[in-house]
Amino acid sequence: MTGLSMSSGESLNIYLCGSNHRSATLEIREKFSITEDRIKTLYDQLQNIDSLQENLLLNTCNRVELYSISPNPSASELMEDLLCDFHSFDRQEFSHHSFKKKGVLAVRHLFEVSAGLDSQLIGETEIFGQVKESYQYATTLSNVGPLLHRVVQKSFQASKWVRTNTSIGQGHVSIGNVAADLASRIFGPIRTTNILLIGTGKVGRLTAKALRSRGAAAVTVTGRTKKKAEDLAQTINGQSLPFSRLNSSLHEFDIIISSASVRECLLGKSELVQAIRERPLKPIFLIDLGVPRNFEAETGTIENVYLYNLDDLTAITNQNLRDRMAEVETCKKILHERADSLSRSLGIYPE
Amino acid sequence: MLSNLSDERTILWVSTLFYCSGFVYVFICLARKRLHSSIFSLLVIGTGFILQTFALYLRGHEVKSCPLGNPFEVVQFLIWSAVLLYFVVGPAFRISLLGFFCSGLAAVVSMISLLIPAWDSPYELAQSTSSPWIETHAATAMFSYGVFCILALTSAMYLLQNFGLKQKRIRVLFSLLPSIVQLDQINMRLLFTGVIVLSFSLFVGTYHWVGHGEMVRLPKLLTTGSIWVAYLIILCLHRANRLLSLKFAWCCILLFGIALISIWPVASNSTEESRESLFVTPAE
Repeated sequence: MTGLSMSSGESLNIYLCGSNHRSATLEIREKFSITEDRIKTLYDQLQNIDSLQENLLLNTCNRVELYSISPNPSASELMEDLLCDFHSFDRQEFSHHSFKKKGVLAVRHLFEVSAGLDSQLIGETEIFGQVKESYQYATTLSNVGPLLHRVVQKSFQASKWVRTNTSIGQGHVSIGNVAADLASRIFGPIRTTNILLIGTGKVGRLTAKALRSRGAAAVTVTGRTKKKAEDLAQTINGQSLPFSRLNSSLHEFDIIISSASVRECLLGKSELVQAIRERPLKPIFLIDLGVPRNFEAETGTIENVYLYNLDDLTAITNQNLRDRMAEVETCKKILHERADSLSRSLGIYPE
Repeated sequence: MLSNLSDERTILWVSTLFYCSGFVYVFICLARKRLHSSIFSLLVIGTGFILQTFALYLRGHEVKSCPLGNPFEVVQFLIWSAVLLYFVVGPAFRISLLGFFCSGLAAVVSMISLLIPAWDSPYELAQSTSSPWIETHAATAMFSYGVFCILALTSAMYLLQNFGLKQKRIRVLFSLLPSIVQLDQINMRLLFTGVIVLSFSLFVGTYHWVGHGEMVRLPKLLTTGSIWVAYLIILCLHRANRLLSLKFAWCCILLFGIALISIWPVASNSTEESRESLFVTPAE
């Protein structure tokens, strides 16, 4: 025995018990989910169990995972009992929708989770922040000791390394973010761009929000139903534009997102040619999210006009996702090597 | 007469290899979809630049003037100006990948000039009476060509970004290129700078010409004048919104190609001058 386990004179090991999007459906995950105000209660209960020396709860919309350091070989069962009691859940049903890991497999799992490899959206970065928050909270409650501290810190390092040195995090996989990336390739920093949202469709709204979150200056909403356009403009802190003024105002906008429900094209080549004449050196980015399409396909042939429809954006998101998937095995190999090396240095059992 | 210039040529070969390495390194990173180290890239290109500067210094020391006496020297000086400008323009405008394009062009053009021995033909050495005005004229003219070289590269980057966006390509290369709007603004500033520097050069040249009209031949005058006028025209047209960004970028590349070709008659003219005249001047 080496490392911390040796110095403490006990055979310490790391145990994991939890449920995530791979082991349970959304309905079950909803039942397992722990509200913020109850997390402290769970930690209090954990501290009452002597053999669970260090604990970390990772509680997100897709997972509830409890990591513990314990000398007790039956620690997994203790953790399972605790979670079942906490949720008043039938133990047999819980076993069916949960998983348990220990030793190096638990360390590998945490490394994969931090790097976003175990996420529903492979390579996403939000989980890294969630692990960090959970770790900080557990530290505040004095639940994290030297062993768990080292494991979590190393998982952060490995995650950052993988993100920097592989393409797991490259290319966005949501339509809104892909559109924001394209806008950056056209305008550079998009904080000075003006956005026009035609229609109040959900995808269009989300795309406008994604652009706004990247710093776009102003969003203007227009639509056939004036009330809906005004309501949406208010919701996203933008302005509304009378639909009758659409054609005459096109040149004022850098990015035009359209998700209106139409029978025939809303804007044709002639309208866009006219708009670009009034701003010859400034490009226009057209995002057509409507089905049937809102812009004539020929608008994309105009100089300084860049047209992307729903299919184009979906194709890019799919390509980015494929690229990420192709990197998963490489990333796993790197993370496993690091996790195994750490486990050896800490004297954690192979399993 | 210059007869043995092998030392500078060897150094220039090594410098070319460094430019080539800088290009290949970034190319491999892009092909493997990995981010390249800007510092490493800068170090490699910087080493090539220092070696080239040293080689041109040795050559200049030998010819006792700015080394612009034959097409080989003109091309080397042009590459040197372009790489120097890359070190200034790249960080100032935050143009990623400019080093990649610049080192690629420098490697190719330098290699061509080194592989054609006829370009490095011996010529008469400049006399001590050589006018400092003509030296200034030649050096600033070449520097303006360096600006136009960088302009051609940023125009190529614009075309590439435009192609990627129009064809819906999402490769790493496109995401690393500056945006369409930024590239257009950079092109405009570079063209403005290039025209100013060339105008200054022509002004100085004209001042000299007034006193020594017999030394400047008509083809040289016409070629240089036409290039200046052409650049001035596209500058005015773009400013007046009559030449849109895409055509503007094409014009900048085509004009630089013509300017490069025109170096031959300009350099030949000066070589002939140097053979015929007692008051020899280096090429412009």
